[in-house]
Amino acid sequence: MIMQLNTSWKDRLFNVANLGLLILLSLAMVFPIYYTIVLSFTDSTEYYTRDLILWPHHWSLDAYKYLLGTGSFVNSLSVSVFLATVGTALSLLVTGGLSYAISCRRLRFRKSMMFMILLTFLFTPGLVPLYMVVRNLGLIDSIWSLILPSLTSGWYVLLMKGFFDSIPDSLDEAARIDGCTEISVFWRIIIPLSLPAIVAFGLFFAVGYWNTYFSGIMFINQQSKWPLQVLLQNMLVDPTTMGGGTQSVSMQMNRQLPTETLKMAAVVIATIPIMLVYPFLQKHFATGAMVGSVKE
Amino acid sequence: MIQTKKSMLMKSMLVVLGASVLLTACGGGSKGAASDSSEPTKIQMQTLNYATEFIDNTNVIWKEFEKRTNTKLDITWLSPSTSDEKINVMLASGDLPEVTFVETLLNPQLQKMIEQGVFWDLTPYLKDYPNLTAPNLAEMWSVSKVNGKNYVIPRYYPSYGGGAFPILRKDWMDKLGLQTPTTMDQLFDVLKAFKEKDPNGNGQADEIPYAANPDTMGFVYGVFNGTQGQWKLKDDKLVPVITQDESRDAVLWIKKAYDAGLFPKDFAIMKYSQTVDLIRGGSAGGTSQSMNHAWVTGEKIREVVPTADYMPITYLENAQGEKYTPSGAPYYGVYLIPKKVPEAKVKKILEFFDYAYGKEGNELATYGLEGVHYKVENGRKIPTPQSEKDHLGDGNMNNLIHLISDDMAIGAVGMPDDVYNRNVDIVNERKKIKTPEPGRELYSEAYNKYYPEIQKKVSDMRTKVIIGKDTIENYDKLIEQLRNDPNLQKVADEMTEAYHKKMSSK
Repeated sequence: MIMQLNTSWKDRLFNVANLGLLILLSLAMVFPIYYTIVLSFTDSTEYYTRDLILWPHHWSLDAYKYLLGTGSFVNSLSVSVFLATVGTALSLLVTGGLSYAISCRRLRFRKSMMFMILLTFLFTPGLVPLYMVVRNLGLIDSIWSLILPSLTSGWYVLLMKGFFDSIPDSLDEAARIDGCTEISVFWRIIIPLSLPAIVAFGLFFAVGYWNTYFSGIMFINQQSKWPLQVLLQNMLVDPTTMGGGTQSVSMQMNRQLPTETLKMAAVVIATIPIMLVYPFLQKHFATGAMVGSVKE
Repeated sequence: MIQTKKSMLMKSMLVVLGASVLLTACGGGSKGAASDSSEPTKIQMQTLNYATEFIDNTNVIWKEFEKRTNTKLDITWLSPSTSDEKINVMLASGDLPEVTFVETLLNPQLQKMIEQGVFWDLTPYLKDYPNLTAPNLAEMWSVSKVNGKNYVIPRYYPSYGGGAFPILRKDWMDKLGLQTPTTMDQLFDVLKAFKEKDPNGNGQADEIPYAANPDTMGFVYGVFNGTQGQWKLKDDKLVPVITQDESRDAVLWIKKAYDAGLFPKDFAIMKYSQTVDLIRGGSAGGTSQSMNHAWVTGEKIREVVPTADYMPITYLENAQGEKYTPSGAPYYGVYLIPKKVPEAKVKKILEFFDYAYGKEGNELATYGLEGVHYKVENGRKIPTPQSEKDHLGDGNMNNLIHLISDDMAIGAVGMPDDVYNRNVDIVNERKKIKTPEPGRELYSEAYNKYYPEIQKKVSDMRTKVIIGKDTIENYDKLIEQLRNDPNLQKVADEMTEAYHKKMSSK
């Protein structure tokens, strides 16, 4: 449309340059993904002998067969799926409940609850105390150690409270007059109204749980319970970047390195599921992301 | 805090003492009979595991170990890429397993805890365990002493055969009629010939003489300085290698090689795994690896080039005629037993390690059961398919107790006899060379505080000079500045002090 209106050569040049630049830019973003996928299907010998593989001569499913054949990869995948589903559900319940509660003006001690939530913003306890709490609760080596400590965050509670605040109080009142109890107000009025926010937060939580890494390292010892990211770190990260001493390096060098195609296949399997979630939630996302941004 | 810890400690010591008195009273001397009929001892341990799949207590070898040592093992495997953080948190929170593994004695947290008396001093007990105190392990025990006492059970690792040092394509050298290099000039000439004389015979100059990145060239500094590690002994004082003139020569050698096109173009940003991929692809003439890669990596090269022969070189010599070959302390990582473990159990743990350091336990951990996991042919143990199913060979139980043999560093699963025998010859030659490493296992707080940053500055500058992004004059300026740096001086003083302390306590 703009093209038709501005026909001077300067404008056209600008448009062409603009278009070219944007295409280049998007190629720069798409290419790594494309390359990763292609490499994961390439025969490993071919990978070593050819320089840049845009289209493999020999397609191979070996890497995928190997990965899905090892028990540990499948285990870790299911741990991550469990975290992303059960963890997200629990997180939403807790975050939603808590933020709805503190958004209700009738609630007593609301101020002090707010204060305590704010407190977690300002002071974080640090790693060692967290580790000790988790250990003393007997959660070491339990999948719950990856969910319970990160059920919610003060920041999300405040964000969600902002959303609940935007629901008019009169609605709540009307529902009560019609005979709703406290719980049914929450379930039948508040939840349906705040669906966009819930979906948006659900996505935040799901991505967060899918990417569980650090707590996985700290709290899980058994390989069979590692979340996917911990397993990937173990598989993919270059051994020489770790450890200080020369001997440490030499020990690390004794490790068999997985082939590049194997790494790429692992990346593909680990990324695709969470990427697939986005398109389905896209439509809710725009409304959800507005949470708290409009003030009346 | 420390006070309460101490009183807790005293109390637990009393309890332990009381318990042990009771135990000895009840035992009534017939020690053998008592331990036979007794319940298996539960031992909690944690260690690194380099395997891709970790075993658990359903594994045959694990069970065999429990049966033969009358124990119930509770082993936590740590993955090497994430162990650092985890071990430090465990130390800081006091959550220590009965057998605690730490990668290096130089861990600051660990040093403090040893000073505070958190761990058992094992010195008085060791003499009762013949396998642990076998003569061939004597050096391991003496080097790993802290303040003259054995607080740790070192995990054996052979002194020679490991470390990053050139392995070159012998088939290329043979084709071009080249000798194995023994000096830096010869190494340069060999690599240059790889570049120019088309050793792969495809008519194109597509060879990469040396698959290098800045990390893998570390040995060059060692060769030029005639020393290993970061420190050099001069007039009875430890001086940092980074500020030595020889290190400047080393930078210039690497620069010369880089300028001559002997390294990959993206030398500065290559990762170790990428250098390995290059050599696996058959288009590179060599890289720096430990000796067992003659087969671990060499086998992969043969998938692409069937005639490939990947051979470790024995040593390199500097202008002063000092020979350099990588070597290290005869152990890697240490086990400690916290004081919360009662004395009777400490003995049981030592008994377990004694079994594992003996021939039978040692071979069980690495090779498994004869007839099931391996067959003996011509004196070498050939693994059976069952061996792979039970996850032997690539890690697991033999990460708990390494094989007490050079094979740990020079052998590999499936290595053909000719490659193996040549490695044995090379490692025996290497053993004649004692390149000094005066800074080994010296602890200094100033080092931990200041040195990493200084070293990073220098290695960044080195890389910049090598790839031509900065001049050697600026390098000289930086080194001059470091020579006058009070922090580095403090590090050097502390290291010298630690060195003399160690020497006098031996």
